[in-house]
Amino acid sequence: MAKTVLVVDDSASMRRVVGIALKGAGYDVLEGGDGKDALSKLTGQKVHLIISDVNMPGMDGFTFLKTIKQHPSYRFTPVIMLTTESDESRKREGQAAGARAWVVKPFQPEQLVNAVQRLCLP
Amino acid sequence: MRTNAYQLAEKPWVPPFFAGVLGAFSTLLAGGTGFLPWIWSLVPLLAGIAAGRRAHRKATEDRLSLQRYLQSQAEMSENLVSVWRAHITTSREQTEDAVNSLSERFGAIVDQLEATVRTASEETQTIDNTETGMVATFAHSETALGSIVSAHHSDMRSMNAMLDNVRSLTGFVAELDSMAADVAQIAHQSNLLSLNAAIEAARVGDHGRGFAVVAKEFRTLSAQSGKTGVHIAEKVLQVKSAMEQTHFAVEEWVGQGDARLHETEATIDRVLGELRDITTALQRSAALLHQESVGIQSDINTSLIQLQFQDRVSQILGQVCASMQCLPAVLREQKDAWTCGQSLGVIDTTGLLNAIRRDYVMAEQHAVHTDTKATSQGVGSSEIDFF
Repeated sequence: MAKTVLVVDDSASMRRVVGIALKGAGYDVLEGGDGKDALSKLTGQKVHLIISDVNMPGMDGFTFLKTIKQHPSYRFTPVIMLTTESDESRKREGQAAGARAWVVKPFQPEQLVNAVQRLCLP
Repeated sequence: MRTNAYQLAEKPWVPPFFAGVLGAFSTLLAGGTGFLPWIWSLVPLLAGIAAGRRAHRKATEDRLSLQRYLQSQAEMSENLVSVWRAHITTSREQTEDAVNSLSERFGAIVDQLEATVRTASEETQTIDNTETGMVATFAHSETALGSIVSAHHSDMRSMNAMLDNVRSLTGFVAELDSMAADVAQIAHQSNLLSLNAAIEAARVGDHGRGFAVVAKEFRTLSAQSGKTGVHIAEKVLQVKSAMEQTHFAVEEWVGQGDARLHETEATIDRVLGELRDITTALQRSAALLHQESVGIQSDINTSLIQLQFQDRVSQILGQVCASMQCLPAVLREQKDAWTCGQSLGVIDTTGLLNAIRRDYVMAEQHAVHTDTKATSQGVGSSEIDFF
């Protein structure tokens, strides 16, 4: 059975690009337009990994990450931050919030897939 | 009082007015207290008043002109920035819509391509499978057909052996025919001998009666031998005829069988050759398809990277739009300060630039800000940090 990855980004084209890369590797993909939308999609849904942007309207990536880490069903779900930011202080911030990886856009599809395969829940 | 004096001194009409008063005073001092000096002293005084009025008027006009200029500058910045932001926002939205549609269409094409390649891969496995694939089936068929041809060759060898046996039997028939002729000859000779014996027995008389009986029996025996010889000859003739027919039939059968075997062999070779050509062509097509699919996957990955740049551009334009808003605010503030009587200050360009810079998130934004080239690191190189 295919594993499910939740992709959270305010850019529809970016969600689609990530979706194409992951579906090509055999994953099912859920999409969220920002943190709030993603939380609504997570209700009762089994998710093996989350990929989230940082800068989003409504609820940004770090707030979403911290909320997820307090959710009983998803606190152990690995989260990859996918963002244009490459500043080291921001990476440390993401790490402190509970992210498992930091990917700078634009990403190489095969590298993202490798990261997902490495971190995905069994 | 001091502040009021300084403020008074800054007014443009004050210096010329006091110059005029000073001039009038000087004239009075120099001319004394007569009527004429008083008249002459009015000249610098009136000149000073007139100059003061002119200075005041000019200052007022200058002030109004500057106020109007600052007002127009603020309005211009507000209107221009508003139009620029609207254009940038429209361009962003149109670009986002176009790229969204493009990526959606691209995703559908990728799905179709992957389905096609998957089907082709399954067909390739059908061809290449060493147990059930087309190549293996072809090899099995070639082996099986080869066995059939070998069996036919073996049959032909048996038939040729049988033909040789039939030929040799035909030779035996000739011998039997000769032997039958010999039997007939022997019977004839025996008959003649029995006749001679009977004649001699008759010539001898009574002493030859026993011999005559023997001769008679011998004659009977030779007659029977003759008949038997005739029968043998007849049978041999029949056997000979049958053998000749059999020989002819077998000869013809072997000949036809040989021709059919060669024809079968040629047909099998031709069919196997055509199948081999088809299989080879299919294998070449499958290999080419695999090669093309690898190339296509590489192109897909490259396209996916390029599609992501719209997001970066959109973010940069969004920040440009946001930072453009500060310019009208700065100019309006300057105009309001001037209207309230404050002096015109220097615009803090460095502060504005630093405020813009604080919102930057990408390396190339910092590079553009400092007019340096962005390094290739971070743009398309996909940094990944694992924690």
